[in-house]
Amino acid sequence: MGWFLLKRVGLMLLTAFCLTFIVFALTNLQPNLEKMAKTLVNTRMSDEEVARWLTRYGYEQPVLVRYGEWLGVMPGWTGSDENGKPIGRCLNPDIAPEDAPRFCGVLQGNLGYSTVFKAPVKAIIAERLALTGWLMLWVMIVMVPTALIIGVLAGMREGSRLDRGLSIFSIATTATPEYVSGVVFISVLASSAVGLQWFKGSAASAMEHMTFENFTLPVLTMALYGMGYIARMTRASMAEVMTAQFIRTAHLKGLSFGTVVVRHALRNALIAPFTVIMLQFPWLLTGVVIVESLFGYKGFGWTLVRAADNNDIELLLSCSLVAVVIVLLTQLISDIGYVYLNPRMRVA
Amino acid sequence: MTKLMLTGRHLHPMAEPAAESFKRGRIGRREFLATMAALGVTTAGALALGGIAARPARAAEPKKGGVLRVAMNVKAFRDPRTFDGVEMSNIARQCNEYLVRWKRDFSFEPWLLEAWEMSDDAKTLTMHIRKGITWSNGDTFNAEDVIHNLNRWCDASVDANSVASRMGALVDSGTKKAVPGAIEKVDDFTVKLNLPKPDISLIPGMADYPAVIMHRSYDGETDPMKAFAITTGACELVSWQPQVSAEVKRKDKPWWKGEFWLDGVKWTDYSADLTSMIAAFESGDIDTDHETAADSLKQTEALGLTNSEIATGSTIVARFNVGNKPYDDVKVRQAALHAVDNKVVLELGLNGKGKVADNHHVGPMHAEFADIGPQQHDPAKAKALLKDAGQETHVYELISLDDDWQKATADAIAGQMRDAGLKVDRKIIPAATFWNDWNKYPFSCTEWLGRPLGIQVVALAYKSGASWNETAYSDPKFDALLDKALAQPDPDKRRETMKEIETMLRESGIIIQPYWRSVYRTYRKGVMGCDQHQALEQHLDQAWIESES
Repeated sequence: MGWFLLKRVGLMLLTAFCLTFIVFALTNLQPNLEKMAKTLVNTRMSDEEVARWLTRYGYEQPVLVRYGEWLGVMPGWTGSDENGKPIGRCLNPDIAPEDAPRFCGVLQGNLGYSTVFKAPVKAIIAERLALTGWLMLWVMIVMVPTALIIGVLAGMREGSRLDRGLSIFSIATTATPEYVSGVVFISVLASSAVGLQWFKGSAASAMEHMTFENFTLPVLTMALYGMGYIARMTRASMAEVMTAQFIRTAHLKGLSFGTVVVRHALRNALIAPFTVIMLQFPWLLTGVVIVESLFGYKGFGWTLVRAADNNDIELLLSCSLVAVVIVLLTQLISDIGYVYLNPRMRVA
Repeated sequence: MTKLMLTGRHLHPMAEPAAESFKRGRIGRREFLATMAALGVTTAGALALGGIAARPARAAEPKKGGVLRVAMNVKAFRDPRTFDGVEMSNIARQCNEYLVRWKRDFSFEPWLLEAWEMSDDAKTLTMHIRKGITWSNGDTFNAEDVIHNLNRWCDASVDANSVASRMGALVDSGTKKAVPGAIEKVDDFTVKLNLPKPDISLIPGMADYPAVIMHRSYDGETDPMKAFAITTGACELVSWQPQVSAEVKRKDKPWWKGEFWLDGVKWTDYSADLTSMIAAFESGDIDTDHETAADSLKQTEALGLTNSEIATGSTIVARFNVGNKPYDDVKVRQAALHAVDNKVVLELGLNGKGKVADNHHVGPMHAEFADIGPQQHDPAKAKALLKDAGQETHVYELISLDDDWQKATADAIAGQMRDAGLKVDRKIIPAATFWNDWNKYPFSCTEWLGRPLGIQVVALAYKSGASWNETAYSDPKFDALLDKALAQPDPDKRRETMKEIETMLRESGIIIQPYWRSVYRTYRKGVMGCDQHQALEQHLDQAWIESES
């Protein structure tokens, strides 16, 4: 088990290393840097001004050197601004330039500074990830039980009218992407166009105080999309279990249908959905990109869009780090959980 | 009886003749009011003399209290002289102020200045600083602050300092600083600008959004909380989170100008997405917005919101860059101008929400506008011109920004050119990359915001070698005309020169300027005084909340 964990952590580090290097290389292509300089200083800057700015702020060094700086294995660049004041990667206004550390990268616990949000990346990620955490929590609370119930109900009598009805529902929800269902929900349930106006079409106020009114639609939009998928998986697994020998035995023992489903079938049928549910976390992380932008809820997904829009190098890198950790961590949990749920499996 | 003059003197002898020419339609309303103000006639007096019905008095007295919630892109703060979006200034302007304010009625109101005086030759500008204004740290606002800001504005060596180009004659093109000795402190409350050559655009330049007055100790600090630690305005900054939100609240201390009705203002960034903005209005999350796109007016109206409209000098130009073949040939450019009917472009590109323009970038909103008639629309001539130039097979490629109305306008222009038998391709570039080469594209559409004087924008955009000259147009004769116009403070005299400038600009064929835009702002019922401004400025000292949503 220990070896298994170690291997997984090693894999995680390797993936993070590769991914961040790719992101770093892409965000540091010359046109991207020029674009960034213009967004930061002035959109209508001349080419000479851009070149001068990039040199002054250390963007003209080789990509490997700069990646090393970000990692914290190379000393941070130093220089001076137009007024001759010392500037540098590791400098900040609160400490004297002489006292500033030479290295300041991820290894030193410094994720850098966001050029878009004008704040340390660490603080932004923490704040935005917390907001997305709330969204994901509610999505899970709504999605998982509903999906399991639908899946079990559909799978216990394969081919029945109930099964067909629920299957149509779950296929329809999974086939409708969030950007479609979200807009439909806003116009039907939140706008005066239809006149229902039960909910708010903007979740911006949910960042300060979550209410049923302002948080329902984003949660519903995300939950519905994932729900169908989990329900289909549960149904398949349930249907398979229901044809197993031990279920027939249970029937023949004279147990009622309800008891057979709850006592014997359910526990065995939930092993496969468990993995699927864990895999929903990485998916949720991408799903929030659309839903958060649509509903004006400024969480992780929204941050990612803004960072990518503005070529915010260090923020994008940290976003990829977060993504790698979440994906691999949920996979790890899913693997370990699978072992505990299924006694036939052993971790080598 | 109406009091005609501001002071006790009898009516200025020039007032009645001016009123006469206004009634006969020789000068416009805006210009008439400006003339009257210059002569020291009261507004009531001007209305009486000009025979203009006074606007109905405000139905309700302003009410104090409430936080105004505004939907606006919250851009990151930077040194104000390098602001490149009026949105930044709309937060800043509640805390710090301007020397002069460009009001909604297109007149200039002395703000931190009490008065100014331009000499007859337009070479000396004397600025009288308003007395009795104190910075929030207790310092008196005086000449020292004004000179500090003037010097900062004139520093053209700073990347992206756009005020330097607005300070025109005050900047030494060699040292890229203020001309030595040009800024003269007369006493604590008087500053004199001695210009090496006449320049009439200085005062309008000081009203422009990057020219916000900072404390004399300000030195380019980019943390907004520190930059606005010392202020003169009615509000103090609470927070400024780029892309997310910003907030100001009214200071406890009284404001020199009088009453600021709102308790505070909160701006929230809903990005450029229309759906989320409409949803925010419907949710009651916002009271007003920064700007409403013309094509969403129907939606906001259907929601029972009020749309406030103002015609502006804002426009779009489809311009040729003469540095690119075959656009160095005036015939190829003129062919495009003759192929396009600007009326149709206005209809298709903007749903008719504007005013037709005549391809010379000066319009009736400018005092010195000389009407040289509409652009001739003649598709047959367009084809003939192209044939003359030997470029019949040339395919124009019109580039535009990926933005609803700009895209539609470019499409309409391209469509008109195709109808005339010209070959046109369209290319759309997303905003993220469009500005990388905005002044180098061979043929593309650029948005231009309005400026108070007609000569200002022409000098900014079409003077040889000017940093914003995206056409690469260069003609010493044209430059000489610009210099001449810049030395003529009197709009009537300047009009003669403008006539030549406009004609020359149109004959050069470097721009298709189809229309002048109207801009809109939307607000809910119960919110007062936040009507749209021609330069999208938010003068929120005028706003108040009558009733909660």
